Amino acid sequence: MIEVRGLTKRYGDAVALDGVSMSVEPGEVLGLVGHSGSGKTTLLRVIAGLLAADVGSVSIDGVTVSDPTPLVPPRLRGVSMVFQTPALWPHMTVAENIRFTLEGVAGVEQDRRTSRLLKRAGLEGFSDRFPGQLSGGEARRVSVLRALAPGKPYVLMDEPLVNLDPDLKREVHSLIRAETAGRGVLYVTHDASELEGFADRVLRLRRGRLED
Amino acid sequence: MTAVASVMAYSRRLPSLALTSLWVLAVFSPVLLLTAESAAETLRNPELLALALPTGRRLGLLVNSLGLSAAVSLSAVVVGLLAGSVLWEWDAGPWSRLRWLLLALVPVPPYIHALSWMTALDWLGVSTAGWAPTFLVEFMAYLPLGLGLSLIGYMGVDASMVEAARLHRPDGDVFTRVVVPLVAPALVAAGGLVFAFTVTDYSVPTLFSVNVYSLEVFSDFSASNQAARSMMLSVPILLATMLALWASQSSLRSVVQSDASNRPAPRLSYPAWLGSLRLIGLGVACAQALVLAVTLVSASGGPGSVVYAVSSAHGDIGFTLFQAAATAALCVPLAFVAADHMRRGSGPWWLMAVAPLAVPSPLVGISVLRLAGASGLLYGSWAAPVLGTVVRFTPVASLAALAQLKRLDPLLLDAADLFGGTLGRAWFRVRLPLQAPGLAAAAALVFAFTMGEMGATLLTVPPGVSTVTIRVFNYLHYGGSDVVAGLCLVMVAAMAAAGLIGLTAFSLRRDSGGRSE
Repeated sequence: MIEVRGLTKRYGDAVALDGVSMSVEPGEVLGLVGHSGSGKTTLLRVIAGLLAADVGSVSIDGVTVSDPTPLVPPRLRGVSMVFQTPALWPHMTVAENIRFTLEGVAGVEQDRRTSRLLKRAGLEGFSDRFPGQLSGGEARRVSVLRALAPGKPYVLMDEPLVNLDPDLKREVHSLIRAETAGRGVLYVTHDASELEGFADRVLRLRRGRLED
Repeated sequence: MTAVASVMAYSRRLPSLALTSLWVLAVFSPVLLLTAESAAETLRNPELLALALPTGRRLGLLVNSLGLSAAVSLSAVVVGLLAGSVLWEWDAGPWSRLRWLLLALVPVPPYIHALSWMTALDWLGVSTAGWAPTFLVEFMAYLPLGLGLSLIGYMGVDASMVEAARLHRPDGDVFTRVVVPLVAPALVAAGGLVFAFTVTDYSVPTLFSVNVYSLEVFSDFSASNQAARSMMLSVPILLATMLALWASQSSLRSVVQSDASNRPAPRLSYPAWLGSLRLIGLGVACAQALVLAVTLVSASGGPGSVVYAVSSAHGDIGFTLFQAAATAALCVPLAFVAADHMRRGSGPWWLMAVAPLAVPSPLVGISVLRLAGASGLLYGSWAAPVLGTVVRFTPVASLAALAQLKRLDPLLLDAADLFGGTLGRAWFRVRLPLQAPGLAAAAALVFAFTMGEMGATLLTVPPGVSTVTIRVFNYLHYGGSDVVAGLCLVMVAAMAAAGLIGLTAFSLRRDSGGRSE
């Protein structure tokens, strides 16, 4: 379980997070809705260990990983993340982007997992393409696959499907559901309708505070 | 109606066409005329062709020159990569300003570094002749350029890409497998430019009693006064520099067109060996600035000597300032139009805009002299050295103007054309104010570079006129003195100030609003 306790983060005078406490259970999809600037991205980055909070702590499966200084490096926290932009590495092919996240996995298994995910997302035949050769929707799907591939216990998703058409969103939601069975997902969006029929639970973040 | 519309459309393009013609005429006519004359002369005297294929002593000289330039560019790139990774993290607080100080030294010419290192090596009792000190000085002189371009590369790295990698790999892996490949275009561009600048420079080698190929071109012209011979002699160097610029052209494009990330640089935890190398790189970069400051200040003999040095060279200083100001004023409109063509156009426009960087400075001087002789207009006038520096530094101005232009939302420019009314209104109320920071940066950089230019100016200054650079260079052959050090100190301060103004202007930014979270 990811447990966040009393997280506060300021950027100068602006308060991004104001005493946020919440948890994500294994096997659930927790939706987090908030307007631009409400602190959603900051919360995900603190949980991932990419940013230090000012006050509060984060623990993952009983281990305190930030208190608020990051104690455990991002790669050892058991979390994966989809960013607001696809953030695919432009010098690597689609397959290499996915394989890069599979450190310590045998080569044959890396190939098998990559092929299976690409096929599952309807992207077979794209493995040798570079990110610059993908459409926006294809790049977004690859960024989701890259986060799912290593099979980490928790997946953080920061507006992963923004600008995708509704049919494609449904497809990717079904892919995420299938591939994260038994894992915890924290799914952030500004569009509450995106979470209907997808999230198990929904929280609202407003000006850095969680609303009831 | 259609005829009126087409006349109006044509009239809107007239100013751009006029400026484009002026750009082509000013920057390319001297070298094109020299090329045509040399071709005609070679047809009459085919033996000249043999000069383009160096053998014996000249071949050895060429190999040595190319080897020196390759070593200098490789070293500048490696140290730029390491030190740049530290400066990248200095993105807040007083350190963020300090990093620009290191970069402001880009326009300081190699011969001033030479004086500085001659003094330092003298203090250490180390020999100041031969290839090793030549390499050291060229490397230190072009390190700010390598460092500056690599820093631009780092600042263009999308922080999300680095963070995405940090979730899965150790930070050492993230640096070598994600960050370095993302910075690579900037490094290739830096390598190409440093190679081109080093292979065409003879000021440092001659001070350290080393003969290089570009000095051969200058010496041959001084002895024979035959421009066609110089042109044919320059062919191997021209080919090498064109090849380097062609190879780095696409990298240069991506560097100039990249935008600095608004997000703070990710703080990576480097393995000990890599952390040590980064600190060594930073130490070398700081040594470059410190040695320059300490040796010049101590060798100048105090404020009184500096004042004397300046007052004894006031005539040269006056002409230098005039040449630098005139060159900057002329380069700005040319850069304005060249940057616009580079923004809209593809490879050929780019190659054309940066091609003058590949021409050795003595050859630029010779070509301006030939044009002056042919036209009868420029000979013996102040306009000749100004034209020489315009030819040399318009590419620098164009790249600076383009780098800022690419940071603007293109819709702003399209909207100006659509809603701006008359062409004059669109240009003067929208385009120029939006592009002003880039053009100001271009002017400041050209001003700084022109103050230190020697290769072309030495050949083109009118009789009885000199520049500070020529005066210093002549003094240097008799060894350093407090007068030389004082003049160099003033030059470095003026160039660094102009460089800082350029960097500050470049960093000014106007947003159109609606910035995302």
